[in-house]
Amino acid sequence: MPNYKLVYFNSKGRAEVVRLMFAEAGIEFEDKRVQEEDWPQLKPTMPFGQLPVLYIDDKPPLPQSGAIERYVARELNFDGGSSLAFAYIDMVCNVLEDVGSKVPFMEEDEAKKAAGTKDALENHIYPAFDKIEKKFKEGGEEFLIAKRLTLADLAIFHFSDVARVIDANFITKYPTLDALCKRVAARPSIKKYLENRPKTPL
Amino acid sequence: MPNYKLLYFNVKARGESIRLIFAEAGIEFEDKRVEPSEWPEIKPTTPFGRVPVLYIDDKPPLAQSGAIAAYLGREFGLDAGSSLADAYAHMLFDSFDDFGSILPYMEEDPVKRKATVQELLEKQINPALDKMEKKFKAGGNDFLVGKKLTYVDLAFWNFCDVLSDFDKTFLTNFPTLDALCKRVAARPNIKKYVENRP
Repeated sequence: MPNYKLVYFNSKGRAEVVRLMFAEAGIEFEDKRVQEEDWPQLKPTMPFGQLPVLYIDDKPPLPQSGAIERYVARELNFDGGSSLAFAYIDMVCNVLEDVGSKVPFMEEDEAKKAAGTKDALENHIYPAFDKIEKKFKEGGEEFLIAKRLTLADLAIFHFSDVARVIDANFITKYPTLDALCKRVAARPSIKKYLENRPKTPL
Repeated sequence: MPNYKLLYFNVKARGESIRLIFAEAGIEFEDKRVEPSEWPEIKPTTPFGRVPVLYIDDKPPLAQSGAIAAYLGREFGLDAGSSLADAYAHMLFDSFDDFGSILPYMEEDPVKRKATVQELLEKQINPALDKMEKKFKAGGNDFLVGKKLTYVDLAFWNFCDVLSDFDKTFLTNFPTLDALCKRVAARPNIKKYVENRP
């Protein structure tokens, strides 16, 4: 097993799905959380000046949360077991990234932020989740893709977790997905990880 | 060989990388280009109300350009050959998509367009290309990830092609990347596709 070090800020954000995979697979890794005041010095040493970055032994560092998630999913068997299953997982992750990125988390003007968040929820997030909920319910399976826990289930779980910041009852609007998220959270390794992880809102 | 149909608008952007993959691999596919007038009717039939969408035989439709490109890359042997190499490959793909998505496609005022593009080049795109140029040159390979062409080289060529619609000279600052684009464009299947595309 390679030596893994994941570098990110002290928040869930774009690293949490990777952390969840390591937790579920029972793989040790260095969970390096960068403090705000240390970031300016560290930033120029990162491949594209951004986080997260995954270090694997002495290989070139791997940035881009999407690439890291896909790599770790394949290595730890959260990839659904076939190219096509992986493609559907990829699709779900990309949709979540798309709609999540519409929320103006960084907007400083409170009024603009509220308006932008409402727009993101109503015009992007809710419509996407409506579609995912409908398909998932119709399919009648326990997991989103390939009849087993994959990156897609963990990505939905993480999204539902942080979405509470902008809509306190978000996932309850989607009963089948809500039940999935509860199932994910109840898995022993995930449950233990959730109990012990640093508590941050996002 | 499955039956493939790609649904996208009649533009380059996110659909073109996928069309280039089919072209390079020499795989036939239905290249359905949606007219604006058709879109309201087609939109609700897509998984998430967006395009591109790939239809593979009678399987559930596959959305999201990144998912489609990576999947076809693997199916047609245009991937990097291992989980880790594929990860580095897709990282680059995502970066090109990131940068491609911030170009001012909708800006009609040519003065504003030019100014916006210059600022994007200066502040974001050129610094990233600079890093890429250095790494690529130091690596000494012909292609971005390893020694053979992957879907990422095609995505990079597409990114440069789309950006050159806004600024014709940016690549001259990055000679190794420029040479890569010329190598991609000269490949027989790509050359033929580009000559014949709408």
